[in-house]
Amino acid sequence: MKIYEATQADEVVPALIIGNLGNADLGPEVSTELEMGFEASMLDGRMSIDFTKYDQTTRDALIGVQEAPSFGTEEATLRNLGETTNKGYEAILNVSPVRSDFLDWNVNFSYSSNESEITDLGPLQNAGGNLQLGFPIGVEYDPVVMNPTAVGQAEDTELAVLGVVFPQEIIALGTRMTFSQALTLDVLFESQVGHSRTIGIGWATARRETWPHCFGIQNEFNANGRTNLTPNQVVTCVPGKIDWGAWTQDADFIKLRSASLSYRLPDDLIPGTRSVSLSLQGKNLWQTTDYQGLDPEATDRGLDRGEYAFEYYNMAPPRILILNMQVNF
Amino acid sequence: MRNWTRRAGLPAVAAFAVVLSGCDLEVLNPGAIQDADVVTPELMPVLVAGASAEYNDVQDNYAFDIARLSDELAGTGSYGSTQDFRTGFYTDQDAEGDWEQMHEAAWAAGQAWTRLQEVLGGSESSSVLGARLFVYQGHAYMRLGEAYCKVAFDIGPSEPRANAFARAKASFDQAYTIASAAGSGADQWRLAAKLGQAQAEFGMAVEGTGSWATASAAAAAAIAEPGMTIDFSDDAIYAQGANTNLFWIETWNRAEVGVYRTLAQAMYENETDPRTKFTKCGEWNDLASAYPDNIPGGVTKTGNCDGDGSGAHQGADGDHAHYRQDIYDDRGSDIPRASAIEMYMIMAEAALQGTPDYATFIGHINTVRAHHGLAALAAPTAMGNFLQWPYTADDVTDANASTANAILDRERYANLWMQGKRLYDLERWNHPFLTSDGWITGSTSVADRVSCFPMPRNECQLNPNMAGDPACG
Repeated sequence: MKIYEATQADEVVPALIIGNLGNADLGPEVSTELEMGFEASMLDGRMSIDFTKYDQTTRDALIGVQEAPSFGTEEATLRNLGETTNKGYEAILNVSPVRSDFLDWNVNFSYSSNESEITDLGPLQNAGGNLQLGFPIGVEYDPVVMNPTAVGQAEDTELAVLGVVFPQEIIALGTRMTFSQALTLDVLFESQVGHSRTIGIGWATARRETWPHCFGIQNEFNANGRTNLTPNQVVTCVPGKIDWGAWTQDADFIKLRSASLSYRLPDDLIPGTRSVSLSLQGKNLWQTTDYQGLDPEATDRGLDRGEYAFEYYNMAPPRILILNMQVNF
Repeated sequence: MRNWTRRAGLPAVAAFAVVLSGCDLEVLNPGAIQDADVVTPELMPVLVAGASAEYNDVQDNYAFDIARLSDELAGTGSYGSTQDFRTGFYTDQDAEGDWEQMHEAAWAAGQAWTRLQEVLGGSESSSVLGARLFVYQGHAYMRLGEAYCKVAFDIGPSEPRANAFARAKASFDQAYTIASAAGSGADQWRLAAKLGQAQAEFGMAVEGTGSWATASAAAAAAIAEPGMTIDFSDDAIYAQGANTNLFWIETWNRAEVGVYRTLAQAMYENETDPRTKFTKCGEWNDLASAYPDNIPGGVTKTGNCDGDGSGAHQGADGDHAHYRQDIYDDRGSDIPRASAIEMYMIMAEAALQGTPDYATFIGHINTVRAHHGLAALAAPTAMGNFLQWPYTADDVTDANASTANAILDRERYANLWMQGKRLYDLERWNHPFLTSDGWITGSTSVADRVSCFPMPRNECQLNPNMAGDPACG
């Protein structure tokens, strides 16, 4: 159904503009899902496993389709023309190697994978740059240099999928050790792989000739043109030739998500209290990644709209230290 | 009982106050409005105002892009786009916004016209509302033709830009017919349509699908149209509360672009030309270098500006003195789409085609100059060259810029400054600015500045008829 939106025009008079053309033939999405799995516990509860496999297919998927701008409206219109698949695994393993009065040690491992794909778009090859047939939902689609290392040559570019928004695999490993029911060490590592980000800040800053990693290339270009530069260097650093896609990078990482050390004081140590505990917790303390932006998880506008994720107007997740003292009376 | 009174008393007083005030607690913001509800004659003015909003929403962005790409304004700020545009670089992605919005403006006007036909039962053909719609539509087509190297419509393949002017002409013709039938209540739109007709004929003349004689005749007819005065212009409307003029935002509210090192600066400094009026908010401390790239002496306040945006005396990049344009001196300053003055410029340029008629040419030029209180110029005796970049104050004086092309260059620039016309002029004149190097910072520019907008990337990606089209590279 076509709808209008109220706005103001001219010297602040009321106005109506077309908000969306609507689609009278729109119907519901139809999803089928096969999910199977098991839970197991053994060794007197010292080991447990939780495993799930899912395979979902959505037909008549509602896809917001933007017509070519020459049609007239910029607004995407929903259509039942898509088929998407979404499948993966989730596995959780908990182990308690030691249970004693002196030491209680637990280890947790989890693994999940997710693989989505747009398998049908009706007559379309794409439904906007982020939705490409044959690829996961949410991709970066931009020119890629086909001759990246050909020194002195002009860049030869083609449009291609450069990266995927959502991580394809997430792996977490955590452990908790409690000594004498008083001192507890808790550590959690996490890794995400199979996705990418675009370093918008680098892209913009290089254009302004203030990105330090590009100074050498820019000086070389000003002195000798592209003679001694590769096309990849040119589209990354030379103002006027810089391409957004050149700043798209794999965003795989391993992070120390959190680590904490807490200590419960002996119950009678402080008169008048029932219990006292101290804890020091740190978040985002360490990471390893080849990604060169602020942070491989930083995004300008979140991930909830299926759009490609990039850094621009955002801060990196902060490193946090929390010192806590809890007293119960 | 006391507790009940305490709890219920305040809401009761509030409710009573509402009753006394006459407020009926009706929800005034209706949210999305269904198509089936927009079918009454009373709502048609609101629908037409929406079409106006669609056009106004893009006119300032469009003209601002062209000002930064041409020699109308100099980027002195920190926007990535400004950095690129001032070097003459403009990509198929940069071209998307204006393309989308101009097409939407033309489309919205067409959609509204269809609804007028359904609701007004034939009276739309003599309604000021109908005339307005076709003026908006005609100008949307005009802007596409003036800016884009190739155009496309209705998800079709690329077409010559002359086709955009032909569409504009058809829209303006219809606007004129409807406005004439509407009577005195549509005088403003009858005049606007007449200006639009001449603009479209001018575009077709430039592209070779029309003629300069026809364009000149159309401009003369516009001037002769009853009610036309030399200061009449058909404007995209901006207002404090509805849609702020982007030029004002970026020069008064911010200091993202300025007039430093533009032709406007040279003209205003030479003869206080009111058409290129600006104010020096900051001034270089070190003027030893004509164009001090690194500003060793810095910038000081002149005390002429009291704006508080991101630093009124220097550009938003912190490097450059801010020379603030004063034509759009209010957030609600309107931007001309077409004007009677532009008609004189069309007639003047037409007089130079074929065997130049210098007397007629300078007559039109001087008519406009006199309107602005400027001294008359002597008739040129040769065509000469367009102005050489970079412009110096001496080069553009009345005495030194005295050939026909130099005068045309300078006068058309001044009369149409920041109206989105300059890039098309530079291109069709193969102006030296397009191939000369240098700008404020870094003194580098791309080998050939962009002279028209490329086919936007999203049109190439989403339009199946663009597959393999040369316009998409």
